[in-house]
Amino acid sequence: MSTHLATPTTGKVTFGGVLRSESIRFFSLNSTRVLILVAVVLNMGIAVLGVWGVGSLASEAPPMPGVPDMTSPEFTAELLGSGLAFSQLILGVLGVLLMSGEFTTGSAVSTFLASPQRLRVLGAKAVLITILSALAQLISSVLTYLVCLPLAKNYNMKLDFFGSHFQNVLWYGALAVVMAALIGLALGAILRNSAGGITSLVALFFVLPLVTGLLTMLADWVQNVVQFLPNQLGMSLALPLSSPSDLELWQQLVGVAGWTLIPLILGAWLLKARDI
Amino acid sequence: MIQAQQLTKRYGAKTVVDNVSFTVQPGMVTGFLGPNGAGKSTTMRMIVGLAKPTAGQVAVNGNNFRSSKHPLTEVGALLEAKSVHKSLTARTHLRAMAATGGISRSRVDEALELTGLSQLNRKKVGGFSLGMGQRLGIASALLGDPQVLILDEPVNGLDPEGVAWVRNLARQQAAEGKTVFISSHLMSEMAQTADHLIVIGRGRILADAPISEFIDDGLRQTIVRSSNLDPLMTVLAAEGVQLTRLDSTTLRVAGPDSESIGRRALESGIVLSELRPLQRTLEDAYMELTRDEVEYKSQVQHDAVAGGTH
Repeated sequence: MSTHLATPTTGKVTFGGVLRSESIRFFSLNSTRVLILVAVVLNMGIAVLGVWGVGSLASEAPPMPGVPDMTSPEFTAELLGSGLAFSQLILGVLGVLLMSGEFTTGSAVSTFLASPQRLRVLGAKAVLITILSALAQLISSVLTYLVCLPLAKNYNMKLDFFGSHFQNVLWYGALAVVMAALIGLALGAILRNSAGGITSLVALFFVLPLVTGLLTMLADWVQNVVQFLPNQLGMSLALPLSSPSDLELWQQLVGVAGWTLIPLILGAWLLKARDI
Repeated sequence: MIQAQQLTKRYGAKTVVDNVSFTVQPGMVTGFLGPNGAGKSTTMRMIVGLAKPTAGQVAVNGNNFRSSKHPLTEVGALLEAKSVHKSLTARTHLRAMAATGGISRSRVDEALELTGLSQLNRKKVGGFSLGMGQRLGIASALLGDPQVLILDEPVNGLDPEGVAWVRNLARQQAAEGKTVFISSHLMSEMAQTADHLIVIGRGRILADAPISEFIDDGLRQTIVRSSNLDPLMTVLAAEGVQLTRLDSTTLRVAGPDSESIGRRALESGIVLSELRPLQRTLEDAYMELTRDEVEYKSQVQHDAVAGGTH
């Protein structure tokens, strides 16, 4: 066997290079493709079920007085976003795995030998998961619209792509999913463990709202806290009719920014300070 | 060149690397030898910035590796076999690593070819044997044609051909003026590869010397047996020779060779029943050096140690 390599190299590490490296690995893993596919299908399936359920109910019983008309174009648009919580969860899990996988497989050693500047790696992963989860959710919402359009027509429900309610579902839905994915990434960096990261994510998005929901019966101020929980923020932004909030739009956006940045900053600090 | 200055690493109350200073020179193979748990891997992880020193510092070519702008061409390291995501192929792993530094695809192919992994196109790293994992680790280390090569136990799990290949690789890299730093817990392996040895035990440097000096460092020893030792002991003691009485008929003499001991015995008029030079191999020297520094001492004392140096 030979022991010599001929091709000369430059080897300067750049953010673009690290981003390319992360993408190569990300797209070579089957788990990535499966999770994104599941997120899209689930988001679509739940919306279809929602439109079908509401449509068939409404066609049997005329709307009751005092109850909002569920077949109005506004509500119908929001039905298309009913799978949002599941998209958040699945793409959040993808975020966890993107970081925790480095530590559970030991590949962190190779990663940080190739780029000893650790925050550059975290930054590249954050950019990658932001672009991917936003794209996945946007495509998923558009596909959902296209699939639900004939179904809604069948029940005489109207859908308007450019109406403000579907636009909320489309763009704020994507924002909510990006927030979840970045919280997942931060949890992966903080806990360095896939099971722990995913459990924390589920606790934050599903268990905490349930618990605080029960507590609102005991104290009023809990209601204010609930509105700032990440899943509630996503819901009230994307689906303001079905998940109303007392908060102003800017307050909700500040809440999203806080939930995105604070865990990431904590994760970045720990990644820099701890040994690999 | 690698320069460590008063490098210390503590995990809680446990000091794994204890105030260690050494220099690894370019143009030669430096062996880093020590029993399991002596602090070799921790030291290597501190060199490449994966672990932060509790105290002291270490520089690679004069700089802290964590701020390196050309990490892949500066340092190539094999620290743990299979430090790769299990669901990736060897090629994808190397391509991803190469991408960070804009290293070409053809270079990835070369590294695969060089380490004999180019045939495993579709095999996932999770299904690799230990030896294949080591080869992939070495391929990653060589990817950037680095100035400094750090290999932690590179021959673990390799077949004899692979072992010879690693040895050859290390020698060739050193001949090109690269810095080559290889750890091992096997002296026999180092004896054939290294020009210089740094021996570590329980986190402390026990020896730092050219390999030739390492062998000569201990004095030559000879076992002498006779029913009447006293006259010989008197003569030798008068010459300042260090003597150890092992039992009533056995003596260990340090320093003079067996011929001059035999001559003294003839002059003293005593009969020797045995005159045996102790073969002091590198392995013995190493065992002796680290005897008290072994972290996990086995219950059964090895015959080689007992017969060789006690």
